[in-house]
Amino acid sequence: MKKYLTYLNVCFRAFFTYKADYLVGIVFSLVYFFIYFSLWKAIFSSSGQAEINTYTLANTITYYFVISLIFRLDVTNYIYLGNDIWNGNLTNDLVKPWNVVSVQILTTISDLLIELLLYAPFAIFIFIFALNYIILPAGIMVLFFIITVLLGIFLSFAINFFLHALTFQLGDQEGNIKLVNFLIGFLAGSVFPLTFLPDGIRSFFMALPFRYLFDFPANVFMNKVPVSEVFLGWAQMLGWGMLFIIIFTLVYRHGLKRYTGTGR
Amino acid sequence: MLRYIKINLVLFRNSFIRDSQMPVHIISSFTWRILDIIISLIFFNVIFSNIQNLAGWNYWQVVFLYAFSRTIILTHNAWTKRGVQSMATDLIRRGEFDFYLAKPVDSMIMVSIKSPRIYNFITLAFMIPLGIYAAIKSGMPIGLDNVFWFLILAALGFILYYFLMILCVIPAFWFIRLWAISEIMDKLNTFMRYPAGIFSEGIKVAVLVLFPIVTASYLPASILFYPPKIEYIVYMILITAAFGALTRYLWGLGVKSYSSASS
Repeated sequence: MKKYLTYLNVCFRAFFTYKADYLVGIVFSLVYFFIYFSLWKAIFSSSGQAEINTYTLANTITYYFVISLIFRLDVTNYIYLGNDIWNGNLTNDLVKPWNVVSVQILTTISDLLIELLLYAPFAIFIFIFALNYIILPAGIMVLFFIITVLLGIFLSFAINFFLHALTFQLGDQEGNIKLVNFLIGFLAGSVFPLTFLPDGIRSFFMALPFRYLFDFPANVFMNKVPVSEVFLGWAQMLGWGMLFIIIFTLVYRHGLKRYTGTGR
Repeated sequence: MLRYIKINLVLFRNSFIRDSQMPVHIISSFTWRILDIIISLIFFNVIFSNIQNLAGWNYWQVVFLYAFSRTIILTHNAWTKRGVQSMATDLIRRGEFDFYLAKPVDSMIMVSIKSPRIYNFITLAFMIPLGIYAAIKSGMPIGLDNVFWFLILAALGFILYYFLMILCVIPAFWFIRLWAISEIMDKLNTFMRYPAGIFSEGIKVAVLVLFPIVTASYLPASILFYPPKIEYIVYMILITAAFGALTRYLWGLGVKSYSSASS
């Protein structure tokens, strides 16, 4: 356990070496919130409606506020397994006395924690800027939201580890992984609340596990999901996550047998 | 001028030979861009299922604005983006910028055109027809004078966008390791796809004057759909010239402070 904590500490230090780089990245990521804020204000103003598909303007702005937060916890940009397999760096981890997957998870978690830490002042800034439009969760829903986000991270880990493990069999997957994650992000509701979709398409989106990454946590935050459905959602997140973990394990074990460690 | 055209042709040919070796990358990149078009159109449909117009622009006008802004962005992605980005990621940090300073050409232009991705131009084959179709379907009275001034302003918008890209990476001369600046434009690009009327006054000043990324797409598109306004035309010329001068000046300062020491 101690070696993993030491490794986590090293990850933190490495990240802080170039903190200005991450700060600049975060500052400019804020533009998305302000664009959607302006856009949806204009839409609600033009439509003359107080609600669109059960969403008020406040719901919509809160949705984007929560999404901006969840994006900071998005593991997709911080998993390096595929790259390590492709360039042969995985060999370094394989010969060390630790679990390779655990080390990969620790690296990602350290990146996420620091990103979240650096984002905190900006989240407060957004909150103050859009104070009149942001709905805060009541009581127990804060806890439900945190659990939902953590399960979302677990699900995202499971999906992405599976995608990265395909590098063993299919070669460099960096472009394809980004492409798939771009599509997953859209299906998950990272562009707009899924409730705005027409009924037929929405049913399709709701049947997929990806909505648990963005749309579902945001709705839990806004208290728009009944408690019984929250528990059902958690069960489904665990189920989907376990399914992807099993597939990943099979692909990873098979891949290790084929792995030559020569790199590209 | 002729020299730069010749250099460009050689670099395009190199890109064609190099990128042809990576068909999977080309397909992946192409799929990504097509997916972006589909997702954007779905989003516009979601928006316009609730409203008739967005800041006075109808559905097809907004689609045109999107297609036009993407045309500017994609052209630069295929032609200059990788070169400009390399200033922020590699050239300064590793001291490789020396290589471009030593050549008998303008270092800013040479760095910009050094790494084209010629296959990325393919997406324009979808974007330009989409723009033309959207302009026709918009139902707006578009005369020859509109088209003429649109083409002039579009060319200026294209140049203005280039200057803004360069401005974003110029801090690399002083901050050796600041990779995030190479992606600033990717994030700011989203502003270009919506009519300026949706933004608050503060944001308008920011994106139309201080860092006129919306000017590059919104003004040319406005000229196409509405009677040409002389103030728009004069403003576009002046702001492009002003940012051109600013970019050249700051680039010159950056080159003077460049130490060539790699990290």
